[in-house]
Amino acid sequence: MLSREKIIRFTFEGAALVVFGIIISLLAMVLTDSSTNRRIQNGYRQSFGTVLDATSYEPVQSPLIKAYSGVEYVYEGLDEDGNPVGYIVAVSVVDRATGLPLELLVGVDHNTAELTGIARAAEDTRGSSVTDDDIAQIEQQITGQQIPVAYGISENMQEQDITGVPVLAGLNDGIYYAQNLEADRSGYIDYVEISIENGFITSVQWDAFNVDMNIKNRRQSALDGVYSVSGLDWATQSYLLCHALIDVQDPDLLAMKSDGTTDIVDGVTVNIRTFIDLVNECIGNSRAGFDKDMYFAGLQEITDSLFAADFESLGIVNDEGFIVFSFEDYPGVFVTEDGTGVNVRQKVTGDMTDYTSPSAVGLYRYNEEGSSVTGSEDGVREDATSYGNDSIDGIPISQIKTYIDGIDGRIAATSDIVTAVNTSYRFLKDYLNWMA
Amino acid sequence: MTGMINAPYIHTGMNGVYLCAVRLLSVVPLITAAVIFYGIRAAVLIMFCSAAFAASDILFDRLRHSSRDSILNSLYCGALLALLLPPDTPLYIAFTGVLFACGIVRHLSGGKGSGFLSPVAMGRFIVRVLFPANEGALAMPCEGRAYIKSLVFGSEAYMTVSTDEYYTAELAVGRFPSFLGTSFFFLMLAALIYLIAKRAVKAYIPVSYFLMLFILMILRHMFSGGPDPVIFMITSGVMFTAAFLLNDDETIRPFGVPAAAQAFLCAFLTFALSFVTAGIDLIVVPVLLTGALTGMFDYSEAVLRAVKEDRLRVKP
Amino acid sequence: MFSERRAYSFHKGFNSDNALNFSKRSSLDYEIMLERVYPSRLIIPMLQHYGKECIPIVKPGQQVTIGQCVGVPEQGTMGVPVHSGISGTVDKIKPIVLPDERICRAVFIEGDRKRTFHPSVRPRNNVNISASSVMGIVRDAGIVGMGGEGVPTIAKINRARRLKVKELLVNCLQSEPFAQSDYLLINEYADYIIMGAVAAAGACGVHVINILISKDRKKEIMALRSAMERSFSMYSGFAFNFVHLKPRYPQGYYRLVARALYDVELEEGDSIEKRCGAVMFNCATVYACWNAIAESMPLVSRVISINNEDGLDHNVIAPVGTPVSELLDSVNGLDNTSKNIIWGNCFTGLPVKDPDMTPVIKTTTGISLVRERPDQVLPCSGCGRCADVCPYDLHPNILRSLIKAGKYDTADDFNAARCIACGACSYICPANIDLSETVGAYASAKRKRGIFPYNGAGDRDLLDDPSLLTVNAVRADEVKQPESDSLKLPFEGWDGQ
Repeated sequence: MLSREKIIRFTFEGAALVVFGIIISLLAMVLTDSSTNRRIQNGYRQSFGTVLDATSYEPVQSPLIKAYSGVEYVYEGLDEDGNPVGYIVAVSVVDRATGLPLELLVGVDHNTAELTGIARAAEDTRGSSVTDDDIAQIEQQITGQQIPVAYGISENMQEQDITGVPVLAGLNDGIYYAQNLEADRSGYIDYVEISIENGFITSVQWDAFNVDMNIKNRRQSALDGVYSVSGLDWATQSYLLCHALIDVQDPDLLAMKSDGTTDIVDGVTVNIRTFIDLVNECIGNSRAGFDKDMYFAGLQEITDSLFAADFESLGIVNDEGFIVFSFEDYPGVFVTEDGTGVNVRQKVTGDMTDYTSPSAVGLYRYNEEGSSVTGSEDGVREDATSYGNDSIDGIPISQIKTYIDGIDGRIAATSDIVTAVNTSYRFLKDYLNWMA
Repeated sequence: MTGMINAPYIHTGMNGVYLCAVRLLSVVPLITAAVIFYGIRAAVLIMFCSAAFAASDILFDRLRHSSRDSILNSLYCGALLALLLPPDTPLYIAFTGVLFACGIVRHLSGGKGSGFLSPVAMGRFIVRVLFPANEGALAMPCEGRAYIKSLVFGSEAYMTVSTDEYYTAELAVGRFPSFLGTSFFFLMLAALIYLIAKRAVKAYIPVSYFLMLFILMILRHMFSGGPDPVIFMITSGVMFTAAFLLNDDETIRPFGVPAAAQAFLCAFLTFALSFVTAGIDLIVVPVLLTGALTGMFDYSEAVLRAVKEDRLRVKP
Repeated sequence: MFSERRAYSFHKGFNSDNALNFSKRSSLDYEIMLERVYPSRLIIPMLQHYGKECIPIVKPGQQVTIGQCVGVPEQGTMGVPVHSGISGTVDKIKPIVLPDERICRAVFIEGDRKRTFHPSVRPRNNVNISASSVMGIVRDAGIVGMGGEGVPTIAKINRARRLKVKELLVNCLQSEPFAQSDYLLINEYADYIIMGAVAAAGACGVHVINILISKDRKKEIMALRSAMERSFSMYSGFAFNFVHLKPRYPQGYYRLVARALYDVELEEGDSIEKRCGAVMFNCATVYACWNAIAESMPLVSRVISINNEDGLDHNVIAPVGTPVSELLDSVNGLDNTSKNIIWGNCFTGLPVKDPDMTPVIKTTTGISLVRERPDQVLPCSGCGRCADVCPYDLHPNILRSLIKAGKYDTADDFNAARCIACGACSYICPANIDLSETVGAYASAKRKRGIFPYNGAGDRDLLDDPSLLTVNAVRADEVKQPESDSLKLPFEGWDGQ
């Protein structure tokens, strides 16, 4: 019932209306883009601002997100010029305590791979055992540090974790310290510090500071890639060795060979002689009751006698408080009249007793359930003869950049949060092709 | 006089097909905007509903042996129904609405013009009753245009929307999660202006409805709080009611109560409902109630007149 | 001298969409000059008026001139003479069938292309004539209601006098689409219309003349005003008023005029004269009156609108009796091959079967060419547009359903009998349902008499009285003026009375 003219006219009108609709819609989109973006960015800022501070945030679209189970979504933070500032990765992990999911936002700096913040994601159902306080504490420990992260390097073992007879007898509780009297060829003066509680060695630290105070200590240098050794980086090897010692308690059980290496600690290929010597000296100091403060006082006494001045005025105290002095130019200081070498304690106290005693057969430490638990890192090792994990949260030990204490008595929460952080690291490493 | 034509010898160009074509053209900009905002799924939904409505009309006309109306009217009704649906509505839900609107509301009442309920409004209302969760099958406009899984599986994430989160500019152009065609205020207004310019609708009906509702919302805002009246008129979709649902010849009836009074009644009902509900209820329920009430009024008036004129008794 | 009032309308309610305002439909840029048609032959029906057929007073072979009387009414019957509009030879006298299916004799004249006028046709020196003279001239000139009624004007004047009407209405409300004949006439001959109205008013014994015209006819209003100003010196004691009405079809219908101006509902058998105290003449009728008075020219020609749906709007002055085919041939560039020819206008005309044998008559206002209307009928959607446009506020869609279902009582309750078959509902129906055919036919069947061409000027009992043709009824206060011309028989062949 439409004439030909009307049909033609309607066709033109229809086309004109389509064009009109397209123009108006596109115009509407263009004119409201800024408002929409502003609203979206405000929303992002509310959600992500505490985790990563950026001018704007853009969602990251990548097939890798699906590949990493646990990664829910990823946002990139940008500055005013549109350069990447960092990333927010929403990670979902299974709470070890309850089996329920925990969803966290992890903020990572783009350039330094440092953690910028952790927060509970809005989508988290709060069914897990992890509290806001847990998250805040861990965040405090990791923020500003590089990821990936491992926890438990200074193992503060709970008393209830320790049952049984100490491996080494006669150890007095406290912190004991020993450092090399001479620097090595690179200028590093090794030191070892051990903590003893209830007769057990509970924490061990082996590092070295440089006579050139502008150079960082060896562990940091190793992590920075400045100081390199064959095999794993020196920091990791030091870590593994320290853990192995805590495990076996008796340094003899580390089975150092004649060339100064050991085969029984996986990953440790450096010469451990210095470590063993310093540990033995610390053990001797412990048995003699010569703690760290007394050691430093002894060093002061020695240098005083040499230079009639204290450490500070001599300028041999570094930022961490270590006495950075190599006695290689003063060989006679630590030698007795009959040519016997003495250590600081023996020099200061004059007590020549050999406080290193034969090791007892190592006893395993038991947890409350009775199974052998060694180490406080994630992963349970049944066999005490092998040490260290190949990986933590799927990340090779060699890639671990930061070690944190974790939260006392909140192993599961610490573990959950660290796993979330490490999962974000794994994703970002793949996404950004970070070198290990 | 066989074969000769009868007076009058001319006919207005605004015949039924013309009016249907004009109405169909008036929704073209809204359809275009829906497709631009929501992508493929919007296009598929609209085309599907239009085609399904037309097919249902043809089928039921055949079954009832009744004369066919223009297919443009069926396409128009189908498109209107689709524009009232959330973007992530699956096809089976849309088809349910179409089938109810066409088969039950229109044809069971005797065909176009016989009933007093708007088929489009009733079809949409049934969808709301049978599939209440589908009201949340909304999506952010201008995102995920290639997404079509919702046509089969429905929405992945049902959402509720608060207009407070959006800037006024976004609300005015429909850039917030809403139904396919009820959020772009300016295009609906353009459609109404087009319909009035083409004389396909009586201007005073939608204008009465819209202005009365606006005044009531202003008064409410002044005296007892309530939503911002301008934002309400822009975002609630009442302009859709004004432009399309009131002008389908089945809601505002030309007999009995004056058309303006019916428009006012619809505005009052919308205002009253705004206190207790939102969303699609505000768009379709007042229309249905107006049609029902005025239909009942016409019927009662006819019965009363027949009683008064003593025509109801059976003559020997 | 003249005053203006607000615009009246028969439609009292709010109408947001005046779908029946055809004043803007076609371009009003019609030709300024009226063209004259000189046909080669005429077919002059003996029945061009309300009443009985005239008797031919010429014979085949007889020479006739322009203005010569060729037929006179039978003694004692209602009718007025008919005259020839061309000079030539009477070819034959035989019955013809008019489009309204009336059969009457017609005088066939073959023109000689000479345009020889009858001696009686000459300008009158003194037009200051009495009312009786006017009546006589009007009767003898064969003037009838040219708006379509066809009622002899003398009868209407006499009826108006008997009923002592107070005012005269000049109907300039041609409201059908495409029809422009009256407006052309007003623009061209406004002076004659004014003077004709004065003469008619004097004959009727009234002093108030209301010109009914659409408010948007500015050009025509100006023309009439100017004519009034020019003619002012020629008449005194008459008050002219412009009464503006809204442009809406069918505003010019007498019952709707009564409703618009006087708020009076005329029933069957009523007339404006009886109920409203006014008598109404078409503007073409009063023009013809003055043409007869001033030029002694009987009613032998009229303005006819020839139009089609493509915007053609051709207006001609054609002799009464011109065959439709010759009329159409006179229009350049008119394609009338595949169209239907309508005798009259688009809403109320009648189809022409044989254009060669169908003449235009005194009451034919136009010839329309219309296309075939599409016959696809859609179901009624209850849109109510028919109810909106109905002048009598009927509900045509409901009435049609009732009539088709045989529920005549209920249809009567809904006032079906008041339908005037104006065709507005059929025109406006989007579903293309021919409502007017059903309801109008039912309504006309219920009336006492048939349609001519549709419901005419009412009060048929009065109009059937042949004494209305007399001119003896002179008002007591009428001052007899000296006449230079004889009262009776200014036109050859007419015995008068």
